[in-house]
Formats: sequence, C-alpha cells, structure tokens
Amino acid sequence: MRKIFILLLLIAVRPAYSQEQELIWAEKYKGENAVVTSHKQHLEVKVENGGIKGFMEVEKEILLLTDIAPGLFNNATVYHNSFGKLKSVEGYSSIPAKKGYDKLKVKDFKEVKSTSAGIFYDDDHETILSYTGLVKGAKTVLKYEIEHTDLHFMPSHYFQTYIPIVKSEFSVTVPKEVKLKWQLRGQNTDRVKQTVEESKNKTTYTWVAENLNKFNLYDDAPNGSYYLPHLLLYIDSYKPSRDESPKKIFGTVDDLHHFYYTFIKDVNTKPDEHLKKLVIEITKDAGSDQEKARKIYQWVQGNIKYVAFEDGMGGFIPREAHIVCQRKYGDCKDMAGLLVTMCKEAGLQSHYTWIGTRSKPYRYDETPLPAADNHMICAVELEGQFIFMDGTDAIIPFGIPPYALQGKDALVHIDKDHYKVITVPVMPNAENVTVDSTQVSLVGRGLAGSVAIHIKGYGAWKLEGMMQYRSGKEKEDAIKSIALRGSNKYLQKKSDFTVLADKTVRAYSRFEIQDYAQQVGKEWYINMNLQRSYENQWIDVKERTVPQENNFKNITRQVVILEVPKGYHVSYLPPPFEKGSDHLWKFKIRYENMGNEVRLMKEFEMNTLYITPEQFEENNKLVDELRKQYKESIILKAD
Amino acid sequence: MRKLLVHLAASCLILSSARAQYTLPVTWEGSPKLHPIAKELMDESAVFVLDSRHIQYKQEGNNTFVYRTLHRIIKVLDDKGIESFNTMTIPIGHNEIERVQARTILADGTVKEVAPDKIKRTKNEEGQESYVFAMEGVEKNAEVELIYREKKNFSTFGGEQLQFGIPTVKAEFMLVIPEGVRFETKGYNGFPSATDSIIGDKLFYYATADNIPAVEEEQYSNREAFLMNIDYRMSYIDKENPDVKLFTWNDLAKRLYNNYYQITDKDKKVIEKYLMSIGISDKDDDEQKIRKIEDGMKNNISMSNDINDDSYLKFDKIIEKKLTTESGFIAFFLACLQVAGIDHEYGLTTNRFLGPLDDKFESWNSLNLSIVYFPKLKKYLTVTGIFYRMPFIPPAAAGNKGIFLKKTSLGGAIAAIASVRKIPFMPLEASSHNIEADVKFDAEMIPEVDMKVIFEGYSANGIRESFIYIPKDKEKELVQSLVHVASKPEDIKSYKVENTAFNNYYDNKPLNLTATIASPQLMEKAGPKYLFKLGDLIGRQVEMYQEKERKLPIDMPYPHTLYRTITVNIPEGYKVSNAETINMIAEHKASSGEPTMAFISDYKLDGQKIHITIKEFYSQVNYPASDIEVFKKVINAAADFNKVVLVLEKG
Repeated sequence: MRKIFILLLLIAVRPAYSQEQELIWAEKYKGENAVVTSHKQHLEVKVENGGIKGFMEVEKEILLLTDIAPGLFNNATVYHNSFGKLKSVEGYSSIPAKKGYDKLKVKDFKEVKSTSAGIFYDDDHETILSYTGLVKGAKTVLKYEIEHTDLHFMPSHYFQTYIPIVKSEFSVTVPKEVKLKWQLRGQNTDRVKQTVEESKNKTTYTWVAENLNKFNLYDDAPNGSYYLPHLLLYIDSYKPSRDESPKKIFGTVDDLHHFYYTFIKDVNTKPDEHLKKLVIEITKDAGSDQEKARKIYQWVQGNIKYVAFEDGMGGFIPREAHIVCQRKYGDCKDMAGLLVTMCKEAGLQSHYTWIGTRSKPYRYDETPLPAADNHMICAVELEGQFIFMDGTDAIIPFGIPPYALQGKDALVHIDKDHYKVITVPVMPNAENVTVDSTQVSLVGRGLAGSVAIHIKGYGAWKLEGMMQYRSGKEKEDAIKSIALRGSNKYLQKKSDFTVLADKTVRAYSRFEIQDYAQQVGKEWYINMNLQRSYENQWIDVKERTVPQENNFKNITRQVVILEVPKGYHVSYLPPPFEKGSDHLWKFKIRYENMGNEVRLMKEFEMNTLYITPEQFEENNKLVDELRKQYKESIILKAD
Repeated sequence: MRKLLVHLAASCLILSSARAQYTLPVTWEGSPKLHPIAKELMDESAVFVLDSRHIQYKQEGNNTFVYRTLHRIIKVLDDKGIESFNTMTIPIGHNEIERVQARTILADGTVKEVAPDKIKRTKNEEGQESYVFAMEGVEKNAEVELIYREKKNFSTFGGEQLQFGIPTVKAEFMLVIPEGVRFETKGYNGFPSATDSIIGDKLFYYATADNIPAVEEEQYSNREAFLMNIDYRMSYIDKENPDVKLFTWNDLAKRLYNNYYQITDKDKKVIEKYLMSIGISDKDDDEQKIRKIEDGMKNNISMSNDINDDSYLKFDKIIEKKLTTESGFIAFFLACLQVAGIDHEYGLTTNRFLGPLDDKFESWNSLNLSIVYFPKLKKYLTVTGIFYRMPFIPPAAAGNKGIFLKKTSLGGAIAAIASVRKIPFMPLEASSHNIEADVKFDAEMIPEVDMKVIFEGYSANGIRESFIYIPKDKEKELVQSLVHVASKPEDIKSYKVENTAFNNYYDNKPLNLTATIASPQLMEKAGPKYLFKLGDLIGRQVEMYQEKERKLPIDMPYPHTLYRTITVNIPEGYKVSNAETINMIAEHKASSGEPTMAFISDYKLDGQKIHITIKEFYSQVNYPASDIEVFKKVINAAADFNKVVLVLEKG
C-alpha cells in the first residue's frame, strides 16, 4: 500500500513543464507566479479612400509558474472602443501533456463596458476571455485584431507589465506615402532596441525589449507614464492619394490645435435666451470684468454637478451650454463649454482650453499629441492675463487652478488659427499653510484641552470639498480625524468647522486624552509631540526607482502649549533641532520654558512636488532624525 | 438535471384564470406636489418619502411571470443628497426591465422627466448589466421620483428589504396573486406581516409601515440582519388540495435528494476512478477519506458562476477541465462522499450576518451556504468555502440553524426528510491570535524583539490566504503588518512562517510567524530616563472610546482568544519604576458567574526579567445592545494596554 502512495506522490511532483525552454524560464523566474514569454503587436497602416487606418494584430503568451497561478491568470482582457474596433479575438490554454501541449480553446467571452476615470473618453469596452483547464506549467495564449478607424489616436505601447516579460515587441508597417514618427518615453528606454526594414513600398519599424522585470506600483507615485518605458506613435503626414500633396497630421502644436478645433467649431454657436437671461441675472451687481467672471464661475461651481455621463461617441465634443445648464450636470468639457459661453455672453474674452492633469507627464512642446492631455477648462483673459477656471472643482476660489493642474501646459484656443500655450504656475508653499495650535493641561494622567487648526490654500479647499458632502454627525467625525492626536484615546467633546470669508478654513476640537502622561514618584514625563507629522514619510529605497508625488507644496506650523501644574516646575526640556533643505523638505523643533507653561513649536516645509529617487536617501535621513526628536519627553518635577 | 432550485416549476401552470387584461396599477401623479418633511428629518441628506414595492403574479399563455414594480420618491435635502441621487443605477440581473421612468420635481414645482433615450443600458466590470441615467436639475429640496418594473420568471419565494441608511416616511408592500393560490408572508425586524383580501379574482396581500428610521453601521454588529424586510412564499393551491402545504422543508429535502443522490452507474464509475486518483483506499477511515476529498477538490477544481455551458456539470468533464459551477461542485462533492460510503447529512443554511434562518417560515430563498454534517465524527464541513477545511465552516453559518437531509428507508425505498439542526459555534480555544515575545536592549538601549505570532482556527482566516497568494517580494511587507513592531521592512532581521497550507485546519495546526525585529521606535526618552512603549508590542487594538448611543445588538463573528506572553529583559543597572501600570482587568460574567469575555494583564518580576501575561478572550458571540458598556470596557482594556509605557531608570 505504501508503495502505491509513493508512486502517486512521484506523479504529483513530476515537473509539469514538457519543454526545455519552459523549464529554463521556470527556474529563472522562480518566486513569480507567471511570466509573459512573448507579447507581440503589429500595426499595419493603410491609406484608404483618402483616410488613414490601422490594423493591429496582437499575440500574447503567458507561462504559469505556480499552483496558484491558474486562479490568478484564468482571465484575459482586451480593451477596445469606437476608435479601435475589435475585429477578432481568440484564446487557448496550452496544457502540458505527455507529448508537448494540449490546446483548449476559449469558449467563454464576455463583453463589458469599462468605467474609466478618464474624462474625455468614455467609450471603452473590454472583452474578457476565460481560460479553462489551467495548471502549473500551462500557458495562456491570447490573439486578437483591432481595427483603428482613426489614426489620430494611435495606440501606444508599454513594454513592462505587472509580471515579468521575456520579450515585448511592437512593430509598425507603413506604406511609403505615410510618414511615421515616434517618441520613446519613461525610464530605461535604452532597453528598447529599434530596427527598420524597408521594402519597395513599405517600411517596417520594430521596437523590442527583452527580459524586463515586472513593474512595482506605489500609491504615492505619479502615473506610470512618468516612469514606465513606453512608445508613443504618431502619423506626421500622409498622401491621401497618389496625386495629392502630403497632408500634415501631427508633429506640431499647430497640428494638434487644428485637430482639436474640429471638436469645438460647431458647438455653442447659437445664442440661447435662457442662458442670456441667467448671465444677466448672475452678473447684475458685478462692477468689473473680473467680478463678472468670478460670479459666473461661482454659479457654475455651486449649481452644476460633475457627472461624466457619456453617450458613446462625441467624447471630445462639449455639449451645448444651455442643455448643461438645464440638466445641472456635465463633465469637464461640458462645464468648460458652459463657462466659455456664459463668459462670452457677459462680454468677456473666454477660451476653450485643453490641458493634461498631473497624471500626464507630457508637455505640448515635446509631445503635441492627443496623448498629452485629458481635461478641459475655460480660460478668460482679464487685463492681459489668462485666468483659468476648472468647472469640475466645486470649491476652489476664482483665479486659482486645482492642484492637479500645477505646472502643466494649457492649450488655449484663440480662434481657428490661433492658440496660446501657457504654463499653469506651481503654487509656492507659502500659499498653502496650516497653523495648528494646541493648548493642554494635565488632568489625572490625561491631557485636556483644545486645538484650533487654521488652513489656507489647497489644504483648506480640499477639506472644504470633503465637508460639503458630510452631514452634521459625519462632520464631527471628519474633524476628529484631522484633530486626532496623542493617542487613539482622543475623545472629542466639542467640534466646529468654519469656512472664513477669505476662503481659509478653521477646525476646532475640544478634547481629552486619557492615560497619556507617565508619573513616577515626583516626576511627570510628557511627550509633547502629540502629532508626529512626517513620521511616515520614510520611503523604501531598496527597489524603488519611482518618484514620490505630493499634491502641493506646503508649510505646517504646530504649537503645543502645556500648562505647568501648580507645585511643579520644568526640570528637563529637549534641545532645539532643525534639519532639511530648500529643494526637499525641512523641519524645526524648539521648546520654550515660560514658567507657568511649556511651549513646543514645530515647523515643516514641503518644498517640492516630486521627491526623486536621488533624494530618497536624504529624505530617509531626515525622517530618522525627526523620529529621534519625536522620542523626547519633557520632565516636570514637584517643587 | 442538477440545476437545483433554479427552474423549480419553470412553467408553473397552477396560476391560471387570468381573464381580462389587467394593467399594472403603479403610476405616478400626473401633476406631482412636493411633500412636506417633518422637522426632525430636516438634518438628513435625503429621505425616502415613499418606498413602495408591488409584486404581481400573472399568467401569460402557458407561463406565470412575476412583475415587480418599485416606486420611490426621494426628497433631497443637501449637497450629499444631490450627489447621491443625481445619478441612478438600476441593476438588471437576470430579469427583464420593462419600464423605467424617472423625474425630478424641482423645489419650485417644475417637473423634469428623464427622456427615454437618456436611459442607457451598460455593463459593469463584473459583467452585470444595469440601466444608468442622470437625473436632471437636481437641487436642494427637490424630489426625485423613480418607477421601474421588472418582469421575472415565476418563483415560489421572494422578499423585499424596506429599511436603509436613510429614513423612510412610508414603506408599502403589495403582493397580488390570481385567485386559487394562497401565499404566506412574514415581516421581520418590526415590519408587519401582510393582511390579505380578495378583490374580484385576485388576492391582495398588503403591509405598510410609517416613519422607518435609518439604520447605520455599528462596530461589532450585523446591521443587515436587523433591517426591516418581508418575505413571501407560495403555500397552497386551493383547487388541487387546499390542505396540503407546499414547498415545505421536507419537500426541499426530497428535491435535494433527487438532485444530488440519484446518480447513474456511469457517474458512479467516474467517481470511483476519481477517488482512486486522489489516493483513497478502503484502509482509510472516514476522516481520512473526507480530508482527501475535500482538500483534493478544493485545491484542484475551480468554480465559476460565469459558465453557461451545461456540459461543465458532467462529472467526467469536471475532472478533465478542473472547472465547474458552484452547483456542479456541490454535486460532485456529495457524489464523492456517497460513493466513498461516508455517512453524512447534507444541509443548507443562510448567512446569519445577513439574516438568520427562520425555520418556522419555510423560505428557500437565501439558503445559499452548503454544509455537510458527519454524525459519526460530529463535525461540519463547508462544501464551497475553498479557504476552509473541516471542521471550520464560514462563521456566517455557525450559530445558525440549518436544514439537513436525513435519509430514511420507507418500505425498502430510500427517501430523505428534513431535519432542522442548530449548527454550533466552534469552541473558544479553537481560534486564537497569540503572541510570544522576548525583548532585549542593546548598549544604546535600542529594543530587539524576538516574536512569535500564532494564528489558529478562524483567527488564521485571511492570513493563510495572504501567505499563499502574495508574491514573494511582497511577503516581507505582510510580515511587517503582522508583527507590527517593525517601522520599516529593514527592521525585520529574520523571519520564518510555518503551516500556511489550508489543510493545517484539519488538526488545527497554528500558522506560526517567528521574527527577530529591531524596534527603535519602542524606546523613547525623558532626559536621562528611558520610556519603553510596552503597549505597542501587542499591536494597535480596536477601540470603542468614542461611541454614540448603541442601537444594534453586539455580535462577534466567532469565539476566540488573544493570549500574550512577553518577557522584557531589563539591562543591568536599570530598574522599572512603574511596573504596576501593567496590571489591568476588565471582564464580563454570565449569570452563572462564568466569565464570557475578559482582558486581564499581569506581571511577575524575576531578577532583571519581567514576565507579562495577558489573557484576552471572547467565548460568547452575541450580546444585547444593553450590554454595550461592559463590552466596551473589555474591548477598550486592550486598547488601553497600548498606552502602557515602562519607565526605566538607573538604580
């Protein structure tokens, strides 16, 4: 009986790989659940009836390396939309058999509509294939063809994926009358090798990258397009027919603006009576153009809700302003269109404006392609200055662009042939200041007191936006979550939240923190660092080559005032400390003995939007120093 | 023929006698008026002014269909209310939605109806279809009104939930049945059962409730199980036999028996072969056989609910493809038990977190947890819970009643009858999350911790899955989160994990995580004195310090212990001057005097060593809301322990 059992065991551990190469990969990628052995894409560009089309063939093979891999990789997803139509799709599992592999064709296909956070574009679908019979050592093969009906929107290609890849190849064949251009972006683009093959009528460009690691995702990193190696392709020009001269497509900002103009030229051309009346009503007390623009912006912020409800096509075309106004909802381009139209109605110079949020790394002068942006706002020209209004931000004051647009290029439409590219400024940290003042006294072993937090700038508007959708009880909880300090035994007794006339906000919380201080004999030990800001700013440097992204530069000042109980005096205060740099962040800590009270003053300055990998070591040293400071308690001693 | 319960009586002809065309009566007001809202509701973000469900069974040709109409009027009172109701999603499920109407009544009385072409059909990422649309013009004090009607296939059971996170002014339930058939209804959690009346050739069942409060989520509660709802079931067909109750538990048992236990000789051979292939022999005792079947199937055969191909229910195909549906998996599992000759009772129960099984109202509707009981072993097993192994079943099933199949022979023929069995909780000691720690300090007084974290029984749920599924390069982060005294991955000097596989549940072998960690953050200073944050060694504990008035009863998912033993090695030349702060005690005793939950911490001095023991346990799962104060004391005692700081000074 025992023998049979051993035999069974042997069968079970027999390597599931039936071919040499697979065994090599299995060894090389030990510890990984799977590896992409090959990802091949080929795009055939064609000129047809004066238009330019593309036909793409994709083939991807994944080798499963562990017992849990079949559960993780039993689905494959193919994305497509109205510009990239799925023409065919097939897949099969390759199951190791006695000789070679057995093929099991995929029969289960599901098409679903994918909801993307993208704003301009919401016509994406995905087809999901389900593989069957998968085991460790099996391979999944996916093949599909996509027809690109409009090569203004060329497919881009990312070489790395979330699992390691042995070979990633992208090739394009263009006829001689088509001029293709490209950009390689992201880190490690030297790993991508390019070859060109020319025949009589055609040229084929091929990009290959081999043996790439999987990419790591970080919550605090900028979008993958900042660092993952990828290929952006575009058609520079083509000849619609043999006799015609070449037609320019992309390559300059001029070209891009020309293309975008087609989306806005036919909307909001007719005046609307209702809208006209509304604008008169809204701006009736406005004394200046600036005041008019401000009133209009505030009306849109307060009345039009952001709902990106897409009707398939027309993802680039703003809806008619009067419709948006009636419905009281719209997406970014609808709101931009409404703002442009209302401002025009009020006699202002207003402009449709395309912009990429900070999730896009591209600048128009380097990358004048649709890939460069994902958002639309309104620019209004006041006394020679362009003021940007983003309708999707319900809180931000007039004149200030949301933090997600800082440092980005805005493409401002002037007229059919004119535009301007203006860089949105990055707000200096002095504009985003938090002053946090705590006053406490000892009650038993606990602390009792209050905190007032006064916030100015992006931090204030972010908080105000969050509070807008909270009811009374939820507001109290939200205030507690920002006021919380000392320990989780922070009990909030009273709270308040106010938006002041200057659009700064003030949060107030009265509290008790039981069991906070330590008493031994005649001494009290109290750590006055009730908040430990930046304590978790530590960045794992070991593998990370990706920057850390901050929403905005800022300054935080924290003051803690502790009342010295009667009959006690201060017997120890930690020394002052400061460290940091102007290009990264810095902090200052100082204690003061005022006799009847002790003051702890801390200041933090975040001076950059991106902490780069070269700065990680410095950043972590700062965190280590700061953590040391946070360990220091003061001592109060009985007289 | 293994599609259980789904097409019960797909073309149920019993509901006949529909004479004239009957139009479904739910419509909205031609010229709607805004509804005044009581003062005490003005602080809400939104209020359901009306929430009405109209269910009608209707004969059409040879089939009976169920028309379910939902009519809801929502008063929107603030920005949050606007955001919540300016878009609508109506899930389509397996049904046809025949009609969707939606309109906004603005604060000034203007009515804006959503045009039919603005109502879009879409599919989400899981492939579920729904209608989505945006409501026009929604503003404060406006009302959003929605009517939609689903056409569903005939079903003998149904239910409606009528209480939510926002208050309802008026809720209504109406069930309309052709004459000749009788239904029963039962209201739960304060919603009344329906009263019946006959009007013309129809039977009407009607129930209503006013001023239903909102119910919010609370810590340690099963909110869903306490929401008002009403269930209904078809019970009698008068013209056939008015005295015989239909769809009883015994009928269910019979149906399950026919579905799962009448297997063909061919299937039996397939199963026999399979049992051989997974190493089952006659020498194995029942327990060994069960383990081989359970572990073998759960490790190797996948379930998917997206399969529409019936051939995936065939046993030979299941073996070949290693893939089937949930019901295919159950059938295969039970066939294995049957062919292997293992004495067992198959049973079904509900998820008690959503609603415990009411054995007095025979609704087959929510019986979606498949359980097997082995009378000889006195053990339970979950069929489809692939992360569990006998005797652990999902906590949602434990403590609940179940309907189990008992085989009886009647004059030679084997039949099945139903028996209601209370499924017990696992004993207290079966589930534990324990810590053994030894702390030393180096010359700079930086703490180094040798720690063993032990997860047993239910406390290992989720942890085993994590270790099995997490990529190797992320494992250290997982370890960091479980030992909770490393402030960065580098601080973990070494670690080892044992017994991650699911089959360790069989003998309840604990998942052990041992690690050596540098924990500089545990030591703080006050001038020349050292402050050692002992309390952080047990990890951040759940707290209920700031609690609002408790509404819902208290519920722990399962009984469990948290025992910790910690040794702190005080360096020579130092002493601890406040060790007494370690002592804590909070407990709750049953009327018998037996403690049902406690947090007790204690210490002993042994030269330069302090030995700390913490006993925390929860042996009882449910408490009434009125026990909240003592419950909080025990929960918070653990969180209070986090604040214990030892003062080390020279001397």
